[in-house]
Amino acid sequence: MRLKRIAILAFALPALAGNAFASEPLRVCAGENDLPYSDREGKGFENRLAEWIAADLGRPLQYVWWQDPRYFIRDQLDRGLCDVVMGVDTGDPRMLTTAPYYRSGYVFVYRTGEGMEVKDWDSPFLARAEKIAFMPATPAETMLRKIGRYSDQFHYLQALVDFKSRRNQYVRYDPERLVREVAMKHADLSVLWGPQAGRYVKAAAGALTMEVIPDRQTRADGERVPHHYSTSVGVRKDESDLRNAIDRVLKKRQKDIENLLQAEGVPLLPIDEGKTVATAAIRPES
Amino acid sequence: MQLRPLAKAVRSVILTAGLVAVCDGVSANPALDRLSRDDRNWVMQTKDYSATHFSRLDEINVSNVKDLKVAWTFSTGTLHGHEGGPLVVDGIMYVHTPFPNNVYAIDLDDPGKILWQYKPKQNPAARAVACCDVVNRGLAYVPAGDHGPAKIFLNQLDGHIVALNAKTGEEIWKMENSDIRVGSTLTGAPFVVKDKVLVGSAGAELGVRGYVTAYNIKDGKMEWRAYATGSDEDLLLDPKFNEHNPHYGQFGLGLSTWEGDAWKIGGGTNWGWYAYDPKLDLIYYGSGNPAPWNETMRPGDNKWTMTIWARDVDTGRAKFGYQKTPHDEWDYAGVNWIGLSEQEVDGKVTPLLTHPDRNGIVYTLNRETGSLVNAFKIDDTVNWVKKVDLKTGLPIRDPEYATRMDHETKGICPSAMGYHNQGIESYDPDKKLFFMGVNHICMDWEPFMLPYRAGQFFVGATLNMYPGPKGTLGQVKAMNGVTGQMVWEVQEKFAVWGGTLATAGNLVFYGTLDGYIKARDSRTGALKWKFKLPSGVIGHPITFEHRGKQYVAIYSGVGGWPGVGLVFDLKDPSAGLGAVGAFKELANYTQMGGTVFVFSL
Repeated sequence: MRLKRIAILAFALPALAGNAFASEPLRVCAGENDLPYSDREGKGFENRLAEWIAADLGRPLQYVWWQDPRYFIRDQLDRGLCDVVMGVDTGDPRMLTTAPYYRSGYVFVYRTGEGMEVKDWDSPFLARAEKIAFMPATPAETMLRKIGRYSDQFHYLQALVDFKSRRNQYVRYDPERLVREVAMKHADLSVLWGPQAGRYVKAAAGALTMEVIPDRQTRADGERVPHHYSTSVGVRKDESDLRNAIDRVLKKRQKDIENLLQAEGVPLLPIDEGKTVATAAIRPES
Repeated sequence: MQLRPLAKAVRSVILTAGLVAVCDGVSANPALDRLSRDDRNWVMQTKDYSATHFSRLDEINVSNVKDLKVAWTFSTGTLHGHEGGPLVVDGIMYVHTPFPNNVYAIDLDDPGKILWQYKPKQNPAARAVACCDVVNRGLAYVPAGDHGPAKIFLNQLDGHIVALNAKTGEEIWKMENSDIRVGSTLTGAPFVVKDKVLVGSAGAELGVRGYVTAYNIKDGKMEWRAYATGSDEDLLLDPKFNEHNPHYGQFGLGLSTWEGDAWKIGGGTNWGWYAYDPKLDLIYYGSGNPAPWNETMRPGDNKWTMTIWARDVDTGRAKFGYQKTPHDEWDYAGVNWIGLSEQEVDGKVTPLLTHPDRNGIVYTLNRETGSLVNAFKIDDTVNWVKKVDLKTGLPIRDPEYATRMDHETKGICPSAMGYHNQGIESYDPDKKLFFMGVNHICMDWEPFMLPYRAGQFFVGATLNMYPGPKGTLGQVKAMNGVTGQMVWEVQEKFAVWGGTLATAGNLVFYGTLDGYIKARDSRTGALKWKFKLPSGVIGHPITFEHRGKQYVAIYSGVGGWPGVGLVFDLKDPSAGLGAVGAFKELANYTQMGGTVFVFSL
């Protein structure tokens, strides 16, 4: 074990030859309460990834926590309070992003063995479902509006955060709760980003089915609504050396990352599927 | 002793009937109109159909107001912001509260006892949907008539309008007006005209499409509903809509000034006040801000949000509509109070309406034609606009204070709260002066659409608000609505949110956010009396007479946007040259808690 780490250090150092502070901490901005991605106790799968990257770069890992995901790029990363962000959309224009290390999609989650099958937004079950749990401000919301199931779910959407007003504050929708709602038969269906659902679906041990939604959706006005996204690590725009170093780590760790995500229950899609539409991921929905 | 007050009561009634010529009572709800002109009563939030909020009572006057004392008080049993004011009809006071919107009737002969109380059961989701605290702006009353017994009308936060028996508090009918599932709530006060009660809508922040609805007072049957966006038919445009001012825009614009279907969630709710001219048989009100706040997402003029409307009462058909802030970028929701007056313009007595808008401009229009008479800044620190071109009706903007995505615009005056918000103002027809509680708050504004991950976006705007250049948060002004001349103005440390009451005793009363009720000489602005209430004021004072004695009443109960929302909205205490601290200071002066205070000599 000890030997191996030294070997890694020796390997990593030349890569950072231009950086006089190679042993400075690698400061990672992460949510302190953002499972399954990260939390302060290190229980998220992005905690793991951050540990690997820091180790392989030979730098001690230091977390810079955020509570509100809206502003941390501007107020923490851009201001130099941290250097790295895990799990950003590939090509996010606010940052320099690495090559994608995985690609996944939005999913339907429903109870197994009740005779229902929801593979796409045109499933007849969507019209019949009584309650639908979903993340607001995501493609799920856009599509529910399109099929006319948004307004009748509005009250339930508020109930999922105990009627906290979202005006001018960040109110967290807990993905574990969204999945649990289905398991407990409070909702018939849940729609969310696969990587957020994976571990909770897996924990249900077969009681729940997770179906990746095909990436061919359009809004009522014909505009594309991307459902599959590639994920990268982000750094400040002028940190191409750091980005390149992380890219090398990600490449080297490719198998570990795949195992990590599979163990997590993240539905994985071929990374090269995203090559043609990488920028579409950044288009805002309205 | 007994004789004098009696004589006075009689005199005040005669005076009222003799001098207030604005309402002829031709076709208004005649019984209600008559009651509103008897100054012993206070039968509508706006006092009368012209919304003068002015009383002929003068037992309390500029020379004796210093002796004003608390006569009695009543706890509303409710926290949060108490907007609006109580009603007084024939010896009974009707008190309303914020959510859960309880109603109390109090016998003025024995104010120690509650005659009846109504406590509605409401959907708790309404609380989450309400944008700016769970306020309610008051009740409406109609005397007994063909429609049945005297009624009290209550708008509930969860979107229902309820008619109660004014004698017993029994529910007579109930209608759903707004659907909280789509984010629509009800916070404004109903308004009775003829055999109809008008009800607005709220919730533009959440992408609601605004409308005003007329219900029959007898059974709640919907008579008409007019939207602020959409097709001409949905807007209920009269074939002669804006015939006197075609340059305001006429037909098809409720659709064509929006991109695609955006008009369906375009906002334009109305949660403010109404005025009515019985001679022209027109009602007046303002529609509010377009949605969403983030202007980049809704290119176009966004008609007919931000509009002063004149509609026929019987059909709802719009005779004119004047959009004050085309394509709003600052949340200058145009729902504010509109006061009617008869004043000389170019040597001719003209029927006018005057509207202090959130955007910091006071608009005076000929209320028969809709033509602009004047449009001037309520304060010289208004900076988003250079002036309003009276020929075109368009604001000439200062591009420096425009807002756009991911750009922080600093020092915009007024702030999103407006230099004037929901307060009901008063008009003294003898002095030809409007008395205005004015906010003095500016802001930095940054609209954002921030990606998080996998197509998830946070959309909104970051706001920082702070005192305007004069260093305080509020002002009170006496204003001529035709010339734009300010006869006097005074600074207030905190905002005067609820509005003013003017009386023939040469007095103007108002409450402050930190909890003072004050009386000033309406001729000079000199402070004549003040009293510290337990909680801050965001409602308006009223006056009435009972058994020959004049009283002044006001709600104490801080909250609303300034009291709760604003403190809550502020993120960075160092922002705004450290002045953000001024808002936080409010918590050192007052806390929540609802009470009715009644004063007399």
